[in-house]
Amino acid sequence: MPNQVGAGSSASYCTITGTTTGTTATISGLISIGANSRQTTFADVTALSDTTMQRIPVRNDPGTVQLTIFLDDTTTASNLFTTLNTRRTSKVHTRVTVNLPGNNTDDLLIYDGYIQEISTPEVAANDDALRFTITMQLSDKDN
Amino acid sequence: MSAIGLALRTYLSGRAGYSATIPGGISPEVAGVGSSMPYAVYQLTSATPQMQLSGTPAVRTERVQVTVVSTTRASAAVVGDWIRAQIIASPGRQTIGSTLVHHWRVEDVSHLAEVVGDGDDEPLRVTVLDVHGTYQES
Repeated sequence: MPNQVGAGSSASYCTITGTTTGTTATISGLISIGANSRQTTFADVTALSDTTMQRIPVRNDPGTVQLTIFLDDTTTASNLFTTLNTRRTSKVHTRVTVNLPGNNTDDLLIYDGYIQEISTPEVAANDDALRFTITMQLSDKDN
Repeated sequence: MSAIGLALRTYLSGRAGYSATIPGGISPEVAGVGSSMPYAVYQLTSATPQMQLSGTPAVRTERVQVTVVSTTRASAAVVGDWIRAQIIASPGRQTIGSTLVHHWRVEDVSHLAEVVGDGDDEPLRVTVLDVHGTYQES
């Protein structure tokens, strides 16, 4: 398989209810998806008699992921900015699926979690298209 | 081909005073032989897309050079000022023809004389406007 490039990717989102996923919708105007770092936390189990620090892995932290999106200047009540912000305030368990270019890597990136933060666009008198960023706190657990 | 240049030509041709101010009209790259003066031509200098992850651009920013040609510097400058004033009059989001222009502005104006290489000593005066504009790519 060839090495991968990001251009040509797409992403969609849907609601997760238990193990059931709802209707998917495309995240239009997507600019970039930030790197997600998954970590394992460790517990310190060093005994007094130990001469070396002893740590064991205990919990897996799925981390967060950021998506940057062009603002779609359509009807305010139904545009993507409002839709995603409503998912934040309503605490909707959401799945974002990233489809990388090509056929063999479609399911590589699936993010389940909650929208933790959404930024309004920075508005300035320049040529930059307005964009906003959402941060998802990843979590498998339904609200 | 410049989308902003074409939109600018369409926009200016609909403005009051266009025919009287620029009797030679506005043409892409070069004007027709025997065009009345003053006339103007536009040329794409650069085009910068703002890309989506999908690989398609969302909007594109173009830099277009508009060159006004006349027999006197004053005449060329008047046309340059007129074009600049028209852009300032409507700088924001607007649909021109089939192009959605988000924003445009004149970044720079310069004047110079040019001697036509046709064996004639008659100099032409040129006013050059550097126009920046951003439009919807699709």
